[in-house]
Amino acid sequence: MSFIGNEEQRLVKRLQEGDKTAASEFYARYGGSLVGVCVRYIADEEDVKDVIQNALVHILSRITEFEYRGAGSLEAWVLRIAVNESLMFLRTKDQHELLEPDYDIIDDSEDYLSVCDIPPDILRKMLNRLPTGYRTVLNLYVFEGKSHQEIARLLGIKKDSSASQLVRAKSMLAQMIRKYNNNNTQRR
Amino acid sequence: MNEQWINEMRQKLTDYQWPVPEVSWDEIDRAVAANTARKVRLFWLRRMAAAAVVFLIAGVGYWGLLRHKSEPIVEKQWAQEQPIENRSQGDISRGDRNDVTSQTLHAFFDKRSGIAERLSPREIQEPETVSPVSVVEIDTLNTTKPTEKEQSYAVEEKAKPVNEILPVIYPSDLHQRKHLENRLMAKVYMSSTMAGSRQTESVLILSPHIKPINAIRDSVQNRRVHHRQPIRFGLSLRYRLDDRWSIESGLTYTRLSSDITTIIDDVTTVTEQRLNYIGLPLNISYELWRSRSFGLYVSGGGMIEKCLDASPWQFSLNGAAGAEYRLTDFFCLYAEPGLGYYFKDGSGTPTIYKDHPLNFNLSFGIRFNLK
Repeated sequence: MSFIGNEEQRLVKRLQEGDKTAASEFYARYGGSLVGVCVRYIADEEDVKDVIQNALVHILSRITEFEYRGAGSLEAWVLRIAVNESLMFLRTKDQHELLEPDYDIIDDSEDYLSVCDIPPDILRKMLNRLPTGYRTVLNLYVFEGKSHQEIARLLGIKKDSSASQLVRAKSMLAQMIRKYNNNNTQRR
Repeated sequence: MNEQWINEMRQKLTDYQWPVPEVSWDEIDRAVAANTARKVRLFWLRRMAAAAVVFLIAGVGYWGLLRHKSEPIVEKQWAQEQPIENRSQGDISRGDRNDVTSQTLHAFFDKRSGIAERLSPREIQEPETVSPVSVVEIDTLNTTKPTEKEQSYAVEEKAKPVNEILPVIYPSDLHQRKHLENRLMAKVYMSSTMAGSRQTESVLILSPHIKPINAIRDSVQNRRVHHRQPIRFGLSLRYRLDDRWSIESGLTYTRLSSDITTIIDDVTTVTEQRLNYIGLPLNISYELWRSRSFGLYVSGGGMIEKCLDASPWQFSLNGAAGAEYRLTDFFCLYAEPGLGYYFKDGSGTPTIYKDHPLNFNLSFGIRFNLK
């Protein structure tokens, strides 16, 4: 652990000193996590690439301000920037979609759902099929662990709206998962 | 709805290693270089702007504090309640007058034992400059507990010529204030009340517990009190409760200074009353807006202050709007215009707080953020 910490710290130092090789090393190491965040928020592959590029610019421009606070702190910082860049992208490109759409399908079935058999990229596609607003709220709530109050502030929406969008997002996802699982069992 | 699948989904998506797309490092390098250049420019611009604001405010406060001249004086004349006994006006010697002044001062401050000792001896010595006759009481005051501070004042006093008639700000005062500011500004804030510098007629001599003094019974006396800008230094710590709310406390030192001018039979004596307060403020503030380095907020709260010289406890309420510039996560520069209301402290000491309970003030300084 401390070894990882030391390596991370050394990498930060090199980045801060402007070492050119450090940047690609950094990307090789943290690129995966960076992408992992962006693909949840952004549906289009080309857009994901743009957002990652912007995030890298942001990270390398601000690395001198980064303060190393122990193992994992660099990754946490990087992921935060990835979330911010994704939100910024959605705000500029998908502005109208961040507003609450009119869908009103509430799934209240109590049956057990499992995602065990669903590959990650299919799950991601399901996530990406959600309306942008739903997807963003779900991402912030489920993956980033934000409260509805924080989400409301981040997205400039009402707290109630954040909560209701989350319910709808889950409900739509549940329907997709159910459908996928049904198709799969039929095929077997 | 069962939430288990949500957790499973989160786990699955988080653990998965997504293929990393190729990025254009040339573009990234160019963008980073452009950003860095702009950031350096912005950094200096902001720093200069912040410094300019602080200097401007400091300058205004400083000039307001030190250069404020007496406004036209509203004089109130009052005759003594008791008639002349044995002496005619012409009989009043200068020594008597001095005695009057020193006694009134003494009486004024003797509500608490030892208070007079803590006041600057200048107040007491000033009458001596009018007349060489020394007054016994003054000697007692000066010798009972001569502290180092007093001795040094006494030396200063001898060394410089004294203006006998007009209220003046002594060179030593200027020096002292500057020194204080320089020493404390690094870690503290300073506040100055805008409503300062007014003179009021004071009735402090009429306090019932003062022994009747023959010498002033028959004299017609003018007395005016000119309050200077209070000056406050403080050290404050802020603790963030959540995103927007935070609580703030610390320690403040406030110095009130007033020139008390007494005119008896065309002889003017000027004494300076200095009151020192140590205060404990408690404020809650709410952040209205924040960018990376600037922030706007409103705050409100109360303060309890103890006067080290004469009056008892002083309570006040205050509300302010503030702007801050973050130098680092840990500390920031700020300026806060605000309104303060000072409650009566129950004493007879004339203070600016009594004459202007509600006043506008401006604080600025450096604040340390916890959490």
